[in-house]
Amino acid sequence: MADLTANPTVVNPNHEGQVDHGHDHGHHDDHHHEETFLTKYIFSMDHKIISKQFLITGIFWAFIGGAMSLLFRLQLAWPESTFPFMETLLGRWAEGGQLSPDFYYALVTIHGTVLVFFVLTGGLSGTFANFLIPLQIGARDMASPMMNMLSYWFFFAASFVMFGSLFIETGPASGGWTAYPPLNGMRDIAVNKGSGLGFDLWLTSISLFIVSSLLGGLNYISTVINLRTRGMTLSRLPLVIWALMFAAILGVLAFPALLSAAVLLEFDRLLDTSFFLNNIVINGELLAYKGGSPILYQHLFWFLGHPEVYIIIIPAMGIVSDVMSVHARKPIFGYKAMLISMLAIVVIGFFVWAHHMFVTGMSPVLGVVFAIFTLLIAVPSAIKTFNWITTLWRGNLRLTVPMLFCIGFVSLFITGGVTGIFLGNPAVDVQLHDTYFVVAHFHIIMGVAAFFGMWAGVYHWFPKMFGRHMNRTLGYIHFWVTMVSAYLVFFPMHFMTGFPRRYWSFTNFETFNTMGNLQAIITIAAFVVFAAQILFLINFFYSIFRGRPVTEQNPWGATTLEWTTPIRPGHGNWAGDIPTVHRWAYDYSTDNGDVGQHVPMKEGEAAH
Amino acid sequence: MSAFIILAVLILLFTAFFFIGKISETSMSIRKANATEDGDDSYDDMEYVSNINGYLSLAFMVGFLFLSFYGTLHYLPRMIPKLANSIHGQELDKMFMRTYYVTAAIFLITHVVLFAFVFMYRYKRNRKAYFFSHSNTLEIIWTTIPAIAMAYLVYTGIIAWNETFTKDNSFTEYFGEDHSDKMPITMEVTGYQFGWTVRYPGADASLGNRVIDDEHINEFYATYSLPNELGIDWQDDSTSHDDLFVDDTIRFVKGHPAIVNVGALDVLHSFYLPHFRIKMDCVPGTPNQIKFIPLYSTEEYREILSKEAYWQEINEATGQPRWETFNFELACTELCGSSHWAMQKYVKVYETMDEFYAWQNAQTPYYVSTVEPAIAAVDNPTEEEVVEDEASIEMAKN
Repeated sequence: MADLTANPTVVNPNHEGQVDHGHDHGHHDDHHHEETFLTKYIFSMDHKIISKQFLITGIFWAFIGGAMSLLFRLQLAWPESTFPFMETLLGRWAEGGQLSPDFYYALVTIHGTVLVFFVLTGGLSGTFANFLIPLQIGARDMASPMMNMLSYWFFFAASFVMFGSLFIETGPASGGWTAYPPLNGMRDIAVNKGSGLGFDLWLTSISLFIVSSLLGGLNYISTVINLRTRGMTLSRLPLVIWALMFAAILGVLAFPALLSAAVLLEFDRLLDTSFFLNNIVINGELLAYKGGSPILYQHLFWFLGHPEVYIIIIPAMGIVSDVMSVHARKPIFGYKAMLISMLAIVVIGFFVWAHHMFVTGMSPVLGVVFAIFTLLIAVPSAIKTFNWITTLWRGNLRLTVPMLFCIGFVSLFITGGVTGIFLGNPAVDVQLHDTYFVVAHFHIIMGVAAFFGMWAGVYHWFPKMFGRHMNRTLGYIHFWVTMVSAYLVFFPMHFMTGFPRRYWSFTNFETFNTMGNLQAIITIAAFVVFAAQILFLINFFYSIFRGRPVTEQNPWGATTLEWTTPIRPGHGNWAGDIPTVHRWAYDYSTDNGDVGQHVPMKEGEAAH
Repeated sequence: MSAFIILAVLILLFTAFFFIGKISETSMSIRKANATEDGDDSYDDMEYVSNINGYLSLAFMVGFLFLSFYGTLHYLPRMIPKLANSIHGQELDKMFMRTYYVTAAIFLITHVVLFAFVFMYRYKRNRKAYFFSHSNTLEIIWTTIPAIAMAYLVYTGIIAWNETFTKDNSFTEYFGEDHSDKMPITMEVTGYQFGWTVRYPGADASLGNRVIDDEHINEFYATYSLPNELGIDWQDDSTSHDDLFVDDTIRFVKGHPAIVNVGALDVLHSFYLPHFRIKMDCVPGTPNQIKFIPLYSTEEYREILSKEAYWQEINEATGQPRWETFNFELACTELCGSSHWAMQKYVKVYETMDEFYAWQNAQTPYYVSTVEPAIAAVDNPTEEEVVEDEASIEMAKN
């Protein structure tokens, strides 16, 4: 697409000064050994295939999770209507065509769980860390391809268990994606339909997912640290690699806390321990649980749960930074500031978890501490936003589909970010906590914005992944319909400030039954968003097989190393030697034109 | 049939989009090929799409900013009334508005700049991007400004937060040293699946003790066939004897501090009074307390609402203007199971303490109505019951 004749250096296949990398044993280039479908596509150890496995599994879950949201949106928009198709689809969970409260909560729970963990963690980090890290740092593969493969298959196992839990008699977990005890802490006591076997499976699935995430994360970190090609100093790493590594570090440090919470919770459920339970009275009877604390679980959960939102958004930030720079034909503005602010978010991100717990009755003094750290995070976030905007300033913005998703990301990041300033302030949070304002906030910033980062990445790297182009017009339609209708879904939720979330119906309350057709507008917009994603799905799979073939080695005119590989790279990535890196990743529109990272510095040229 | 039609329309729609996509891709390559053939290099595909999307971005910005502010104004009358019915609530709302002004300004300015740049610097064939990699001055400026803004919001926020949550039970900061006329209303709210148990002290102004152990809950239940979920010490603590249990309406008095002890029996719940800006989680085994001072009685609040257009509209269900039947409500805001959405209660604020006392005196304490007879029936059975009992023992023997 990009006309690079003016900048022949970028596509120059002659990599002068290349040397064999220490980890390159040469035999990777050999593509002649027998590969069956099973070893090539299923139990593959090629990071590129594993990345596609993560991506396609992520897409599968995105559609399941999205479709679930449509079902419960129907209930919210028209609580007094019936939809016969729902009974056909869900049977006794929607008798008479109305979603039962039990299954409504199951849908809400599984929607949240799969989107947060399977799509925006597995699907986002899994896809792009696997795909980009070796290709952009100049490595043949991950540090441990076997661990990498295991990481996917643990993810697959987690997916399998979670999917299976949808079909059991008592239904899937229905106690919220945060899985707070005591609602989810008692197995055989019928406090909640989904807290029986469904929740056991949920815990099993999440535990498997944590294993997957740790195997992946450790691999990403050690690969970035150890396998960089000659000349690829840390300060020359593209921001997306930094972002993926930071996300992996967050995951490696935070996920174990969730695992411990999951294990202790299962102890409470199966062995009648009392880690999270105390003085519970059911049907007039005091149960034997003594001395535990439900609030302790929340501390453990949010010790992961809050870094988790950065695990989701930081890779999206990284993708946006790099993709934006390519299509703006400008260096990302303030590389170091971007890096430091990302690091600040990672570090401070570990000291804000209890802002999810301002109204649990915890000490107000503690609330002050967490409020200070939480609002402090707004500063690096603001720096990043201003840097993105400045990157656009006086650029030559090729408004391609990935570029539009980057711009959309910045808009969403601002809209969803400023509402965080309300929620991080305990004085304001009292009223907003657990209401639609929160739903609007996190869906915009870590739902839609993270998805925009993911789409920017998919559209941008699709030619590298599959050797074909996606259809551009469908991409533009996908972008604009999604941009407009996703805002139509989530922006109006701010107007329902103070309306409790996770309500099956608002009709019982005068206070919350005032919005007229607003819920219906939101639901219709949600259907439109979903339809646009079907268009994306068609485009994605059609283009894999029938898309316009890529003919240029470097179709976007990017400077990073992945575009120096063959159009369809085999296992091992580079047919010959791995290129040596001579400069940072952002030499766009310099006096010498756009210059790839593998091009040696000219005499007198200043490094950045 | 209708499902079939919908499905058919959808499939047609997707097919149409798909072919629009295919055709435009083909036409692009034809245009490109033709242009190359004619030796005409004025056609630039990237310029063409960047132009379209540049204008679309501008249109989006205008539409989005307009709708977001217009929507806020349009739905404002339907939101939870903006007049908070508590002293601290008004402080919290000021904090909300402070944050709103700061963030609305950021939102507006950054969006205008973002989309203006997208439009202004959309791809032009002959434009070369300006190589601008960093500027420490700029970074310092936009580190400092947000830092100052956040410091301001944190500082004012903490003050409002402390006023809400760290006051002691004497309320001297509001009423001065002598506030004997500001008798606080103490009460206890306990969430369960799916409702609230509300307990007020009687004339003695103190709630009966609770002892959460086997003896006071399980054994009491087994002995007297009367559940005692709260573990109230009915037999050894006579202060419980005049305690009142309330069915559907919680009662406060205007200008009098309300001290609410919140808890839960089974799972987490959250005590939420939207009009009072009160929210506190109810945790089994961990008592929490929340204090506030209501500012308007229900009647006064209705009077205030009666001046607003939305509340003047006729409520179809009652045939009266909305404000006439307005009530404060209590809701649960922590997912607690399948009927989480139905844990509703009304809240009434009396004008004077006398009205409260009048209501209080008209109630029969739970001990008198239910507990005492149940205990008496077992401990001092009447003759008839003894006879019945013996009869049943006889029967069991046979």
